[in-house]
Amino acid sequence: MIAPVAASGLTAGGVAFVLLAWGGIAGLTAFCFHRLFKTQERRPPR
Amino acid sequence: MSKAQSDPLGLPREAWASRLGLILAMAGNAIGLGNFLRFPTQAARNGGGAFMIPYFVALLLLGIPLMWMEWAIGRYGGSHHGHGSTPGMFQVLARKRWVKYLGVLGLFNPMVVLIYYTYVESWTMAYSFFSATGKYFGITTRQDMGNFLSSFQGFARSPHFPGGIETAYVFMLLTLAINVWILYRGISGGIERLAKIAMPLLFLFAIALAVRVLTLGTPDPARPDWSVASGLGYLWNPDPSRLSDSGVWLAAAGQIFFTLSLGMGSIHCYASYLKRNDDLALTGLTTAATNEFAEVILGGIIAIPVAVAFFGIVETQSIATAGSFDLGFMSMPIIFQKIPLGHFFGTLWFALLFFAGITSSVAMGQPVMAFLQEEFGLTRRKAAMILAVAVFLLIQPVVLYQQFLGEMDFWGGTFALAVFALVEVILFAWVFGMDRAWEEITRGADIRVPRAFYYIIRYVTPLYLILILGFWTVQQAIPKLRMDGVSADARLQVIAARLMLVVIMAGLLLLIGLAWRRRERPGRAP
Repeated sequence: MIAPVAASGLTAGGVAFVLLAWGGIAGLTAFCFHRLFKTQERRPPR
Repeated sequence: MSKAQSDPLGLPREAWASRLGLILAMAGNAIGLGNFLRFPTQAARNGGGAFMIPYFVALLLLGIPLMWMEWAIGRYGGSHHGHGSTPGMFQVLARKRWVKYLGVLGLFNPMVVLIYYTYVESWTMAYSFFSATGKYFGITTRQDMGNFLSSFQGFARSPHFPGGIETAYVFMLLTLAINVWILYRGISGGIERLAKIAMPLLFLFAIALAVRVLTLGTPDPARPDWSVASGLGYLWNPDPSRLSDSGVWLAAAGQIFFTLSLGMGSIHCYASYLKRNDDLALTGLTTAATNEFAEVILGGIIAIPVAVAFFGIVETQSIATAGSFDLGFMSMPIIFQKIPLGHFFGTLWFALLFFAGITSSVAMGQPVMAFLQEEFGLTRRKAAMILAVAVFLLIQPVVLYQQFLGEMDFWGGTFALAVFALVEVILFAWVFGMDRAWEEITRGADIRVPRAFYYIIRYVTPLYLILILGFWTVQQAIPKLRMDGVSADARLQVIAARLMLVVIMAGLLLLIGLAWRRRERPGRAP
């Protein structure tokens, strides 16, 4: 059963969770691709 | 990664043409319908923003360790021993003849999911076409849209589909043919090429839809509460009280499991085309991060917020409770009729789902292809033909009878995944040995894998899996087995679906036995 939710916009807690979740994932994705291209540049062609 | 390796039968093994191609193919495997339909409904039902706490805990303790482990098992089995499917991989891990039979789950799970997933995938292709032509335009209630879906599936009569199931059947055949054709084209010529086209398009479509949703504001000024902001609030405002509910933690673990395509045998298979010293730590993490980006950021923006903007909170709650199909195929088509350029965005939405689906379904087909090619020495053409015939025959009851899809989804697409993951973590961390397992995970790594994962993989992940399996058994599997809540009319179908699952499992076990008898003939490598 879903608890009723107030029909309001994002609360401060909601904004914090959005920023944390989206920021964390976007940061991780950016880090991974950055490292990937860096290591690709360093690697001698096979 | 372009040089072909040789398998024990002396046949050249396929290989990925590029690292980016591998990442896109692996991300395509992980990014499926669940990213855009299942995740937002799960989050909305399980505490909103607070759901992200158990979600990230599960990602860290279950998802990433299992993902690395599956990559490592795949690379070990493929690069050392020429096995692209888990029966062979498990046998070389444990060095026991009977262990290969445990690997049957790495064929059974993807095969079962492939059967019903192909059908659902064909709906997305059909609905993309219906959006472009405006076939469902004019249907304005969820109930009527539900009837439209039922009549499309041939379970109800309507003037929209006078031929009954014909339309759905044609789209199913088309989808199956495309899948088989891609698999027939091989790893770099088929799967990798598909990923290089479909994945950028998928992200482009998702970003276009996300921008469209975020700029909708409050579509009906007379209902200021029905807005995208309210939708984001509904999805993300945390309800910390839900964190004490074990069901929320279980739902989060389940979502991580499905979204990363763990316990399927597909990751193993794709990773088997790596070389012995190729990096898997960074490449694997990149695919997981890409999947999370698609799920949490894009998946979290599109469906639920737009549903709140057009249906309001109360009805969106009932949509979320009804599940992914209601959201994707009944609610979204109504929304597309209410926004400017609805034909275009509807086509985009279902094309996005189709691309998400097909990049996953080919990943489900590849383990069986690899098994037939490598363990029986079949050509790719013959393997593709056998797979096509098998899926074509087994998909018939799914298309014709309503109970098959749900039954196969639970046993083959949910429960068996966790069983398989538990089996592989025990084999890899405890039988193969954690020191050797760690060496496999970290060899050639382009990032430093934190040592903490050594202990997480060894102790925490198996315990986590045992807990999940225990809860699923008590809360879902036993009631499901007893057919609680199943009407008398539907029971026969449920029993038939289970019989079919038993037959698939028995058939695959038989094939494994036959394959090894063939391999163990004089002159063949074990």
